[in-house]
Amino acid sequence: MSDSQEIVVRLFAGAREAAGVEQLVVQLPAPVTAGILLHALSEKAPQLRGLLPACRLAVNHEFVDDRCRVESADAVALIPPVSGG
Amino acid sequence: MSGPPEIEIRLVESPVELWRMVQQSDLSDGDCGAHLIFLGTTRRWTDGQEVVMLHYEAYRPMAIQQLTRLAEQAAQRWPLRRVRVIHSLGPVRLGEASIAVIASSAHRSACMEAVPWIMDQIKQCVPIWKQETAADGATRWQHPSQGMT
Repeated sequence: MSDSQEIVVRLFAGAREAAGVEQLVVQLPAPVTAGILLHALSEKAPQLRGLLPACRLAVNHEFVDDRCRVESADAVALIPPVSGG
Repeated sequence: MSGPPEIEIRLVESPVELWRMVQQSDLSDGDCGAHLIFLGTTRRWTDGQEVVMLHYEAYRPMAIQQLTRLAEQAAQRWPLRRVRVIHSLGPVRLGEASIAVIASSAHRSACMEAVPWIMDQIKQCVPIWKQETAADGATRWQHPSQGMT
């Protein structure tokens, strides 16, 4: 019930550059939500804090809101504001 | 005979002349009387800074998924026969196209409304980013606030 989850978060573009790594791994007590995860990312990589408020979290290739549950097996990515086209 | 709309989504890594792909649009499709082609190209000036090169990066599986959904949604909103979205990744030089959006429909109004909508959506929800290289060699990822692109 109080199992911890190891969540791997992929980083892209300016977020990757700011953090200096391709991905961050955070260990959190279950249940983990996207909101909890975003807060954990700001603790884990303070250099992301400037960009984080503008970022969205994607779980299994879909944007999610803060209440979405996140599991270890999920494909999780931090999506900074996009600029394709 | 009308069948489901044809949807093609491609992320291409190598420098590609996107207008060559545009020619693949089946202009001989007798059901279509209109083909709208949008090309996005590299602009030299951004915020007063001279840009010499762009570099595009994608979260590929999510970008493909989002682009496919956008094309499907466009084909639901407008009677489109064909939607193609092709985006370049990696380095894109000045004078090259980074994106082509092509829509075909029986009448012009459908594709003329759908293509701007598709482009607006791409700039909000498709995980692709551009990094600009300025004339002085400095690089900068573009992370615009919503509505700024």
